[in-house]
Parts: sequence; C-alpha cells; structure tokens
Amino acid sequence: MTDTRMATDAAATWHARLDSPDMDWEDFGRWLDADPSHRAAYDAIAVLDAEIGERAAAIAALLPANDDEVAVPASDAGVPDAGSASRGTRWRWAAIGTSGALAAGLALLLVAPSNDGAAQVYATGRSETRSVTLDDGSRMQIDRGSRVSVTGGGTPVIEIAQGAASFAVRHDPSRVLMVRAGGYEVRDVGTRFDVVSARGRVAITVAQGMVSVVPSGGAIGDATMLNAGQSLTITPDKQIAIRGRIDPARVADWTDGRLDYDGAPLTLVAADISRYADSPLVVDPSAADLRFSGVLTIGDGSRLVDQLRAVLPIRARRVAGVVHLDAAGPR
Amino acid sequence: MLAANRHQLVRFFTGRTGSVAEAEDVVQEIWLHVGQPPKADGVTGEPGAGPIANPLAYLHRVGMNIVLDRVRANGRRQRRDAGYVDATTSTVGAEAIDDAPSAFDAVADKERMARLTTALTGPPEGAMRVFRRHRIDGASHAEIAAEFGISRSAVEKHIAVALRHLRKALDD
Repeated sequence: MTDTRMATDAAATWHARLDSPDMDWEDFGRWLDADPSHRAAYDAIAVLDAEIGERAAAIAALLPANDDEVAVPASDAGVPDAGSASRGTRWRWAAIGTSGALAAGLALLLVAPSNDGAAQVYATGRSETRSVTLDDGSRMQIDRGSRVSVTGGGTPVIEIAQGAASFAVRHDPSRVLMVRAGGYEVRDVGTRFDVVSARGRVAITVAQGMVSVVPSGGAIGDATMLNAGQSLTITPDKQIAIRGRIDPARVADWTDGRLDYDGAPLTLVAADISRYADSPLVVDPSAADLRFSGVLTIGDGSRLVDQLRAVLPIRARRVAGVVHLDAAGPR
Repeated sequence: MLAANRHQLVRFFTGRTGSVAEAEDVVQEIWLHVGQPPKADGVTGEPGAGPIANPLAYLHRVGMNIVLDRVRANGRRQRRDAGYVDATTSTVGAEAIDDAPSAFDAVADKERMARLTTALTGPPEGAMRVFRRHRIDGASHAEIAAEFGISRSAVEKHIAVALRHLRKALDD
C-alpha cells in the first residue's frame, strides 16, 4: 500500500468518526501534524464528501428507486482501522445523555454551500411580498417595496439594500446566516428575526433565538447580542443604537399585511410607514410625544397615514415632497 | 469557554490548516459562530442552539466546517484562476461574481454526476448503502445503526470504506 493510499484510508476513517462520541480530537491533530500529506488527503476526502452532500438531491434523483430490502453484511465493516485512528479514547464526551441531541444537530453540518458567488436579487413591488427558501433551508420573507440580494449558497449572505425581510433560520450551529443592512451585520443561528433597512434606520427584532449585530468591519468584541423579544433600532448616521423590548408575536408583523403596535412612539410608527409610502414621513416636535396602539393595514401603503389620522390627534401636511405629521389643534 | 480552550484550538487548527495565522483566523471565526462573551447587560454569550454535550468537541466541529468552507472556496478560486471554469462574470455591488456556468461546465458537471452516481451504487454494496443512507437520505449514524442492527462504530467503518472507494473512483 502506498503512503498516499494509507493517508487516504486514515483520512476517511477520521472523517467518518468526527461525530462519534469517541472522537479524539487531540489524536486527530497529531495525525494531521505528522505529515503534510495527511492534511491534503483529509482535504480531498472532506471536499468529496461535502460535494456529495451538496448534490444529494440531484444524486437521489438519479439513483434507482428500488433501493432497500438488502441487508448490510456486517463483514463489510471488518476493515482494519487506519493507523492511530483506533487508538486512545482518553477524551470522551462529557454528558452522554445529551450527546444524541448534539449529534442530530451536527448531522447537518456537512451540507456544504452551493453556487457561492452567484447573487440572486429580489425586488418587490409596493403591494407584493415574496417568500424565498434559501439554499441552506432557511426561509426569508421580503416586505413590500424592498430590494434584497442573496449570495453564498449554503452559508447565505443577505444584503438588504432597501426595505425589510424576516428570517426563519434553520437550526444548524455551523452555518451562520448573515444579513447586511445599512452598514451593519446581523449574524444568526437558528432563529426567527426581522431586519428593516429604510430611510437611514436599521431595525432588528428577534422573535426566537439570538442574533449578534456588529457594524460592518467592526470588531467582534463590539457585537451587540439580541435575544428573543429584544429589538435594536440603529440610526447609522448618528451612531445611535437603542435596545428595546418587543412582543415576539409582533416581530415581522408586516408578513401578515399589518403593522401591530402597543404604545409605540409615533416616530417609530412613522419610520415604519415611510417604508411603504411614496414620500418621506417626518414627525414634527409637536407630535413627537404621541404614542400609538393598534393595528394598521399595509395594503399598498397609501392609506397608512389616513389610518393613523383616524385614531390620533394629528394632521398631515405635505411640504416640498415631505409629509409632516404634527399635532392637530390644542392638546 | 472558547477563551479557556483557545490555545488547544489554535494548535489543532494549525495542524488542520498548516498555518498558525490561518488557525487564528479560524478560531476567531468559531467565536463568531458560537456566540459572544457575556455583555455588561447580562446577555449571555451562549448560543441559542440548545444543550451542548461536549462544548470542546462542538468547537472543534464548528471549526472543521469553517476550514472545509475555506478549502472548498480556495479550490473553486484556483479552478477559476486556472481558466477551467469559463463563466460569464458580472458585478453586483463591489463584488465580481460568477454568473451562469458555461455549456462546457454543464457537460463536465453532468459527467461528474454520472461518475458519482455510478460509484455510489457500485461495490462495496453494503458500505455504499450505509453511506447513501447517511449522506443522500440524511440519516444519522445512530438511526442507521438502529435500522440495520449494527453498532455505531460499524456504521462509521462502512462510511469510511465508502469514502475510500469513492475517492478512488473519482480520482481515476
């Protein structure tokens, strides 16, 4: 047996055992260190395995359908262990009881990214939302009047140029979905959350799980973590970020065609409405202290201000293409 | 968690990547993937990913995937640089991206798929069957062990055997 062949055999053995409760990472490290050819052999195995996993659906379609009923001969497994792979299990998984749950999670890990680099751009009209399933199985819903691009295949990177998108991210600890918006990066593992980027404001709300938010290119240590029920509203120009609380049930309410508020400042409501309206919306100081509770129906966006006016003591004035909301009469 | 094991992880990934600098990058990226150290407001740095039986194994595992992504990306880049991939390129934002694969790629891809499928259905049948259950159907090692009435380590051995044969079949 040649050295290359031996290295390949050992690499395959190590690769097949990565998720084993008996996996000895230190031993694996020693094997990798022992000879540079080991690393190359392992790379080849891991890349091939990932490729097959990535093409699983296409391969399944080509396989003959009648593929069960034949037992696995146990003797097939009687292949000698490669080198040190069978040695030492000094180092074991700590909590046996939960390792099954972990293994189940890790089973997804090797589903590798596909068509990296190709950007898919989605643009929605003013009364149209769009639902997209990403290559990693996560779901993205895009709000009206939005422009969103997706790159990265199995490790998606989503850029929200304008508008909003909400995400239901498939639970997979090794694949982080990243959303870029307004100069910030939101990273997430297995979560439902919403990112709005519109008119100089970035707002992130988390319904489930946890996300991290950093300025693009910022240090990791600067990350702000958001848990379920938390929101972060950023005004990038002013370098202001405000953390708030939100009822998880209200996150990405726009997916239902409504905007749902409970005592929200009028400025926040106006910022949301701005996403759907033709013109920028500004809250004048006289109305800045007002709060709104209730549900607005988005429709094509043109009736939102009217709905607000019906319940709040405000007027809407259009000045030079900008709609100003101010207090109506003495309060 | 990560800080306490940083040295060990850097050492391991130095072996995995062949470079201390890259290992440092990978460990940094593991940090990104699994969460952040506790913040002043009491938000903890643990990932919201449920209980983790062996955090150190988990960190290794996450890092392995990061390295794999890098290896694959490098491979693609090298193939592209070498002109093997003849794709139309367009620009989105600041990044040049490969757009539609050419007809040449489509043919090469089809041939590769045929070879993969042939190898996956070829000998050794038992090992390939286990491998397909795992990699194509997505069954876990434990599920396959239960299904076929074999031990988990036998499942691992079948998969290793299958990988060796696949590697050989795709190499020729």
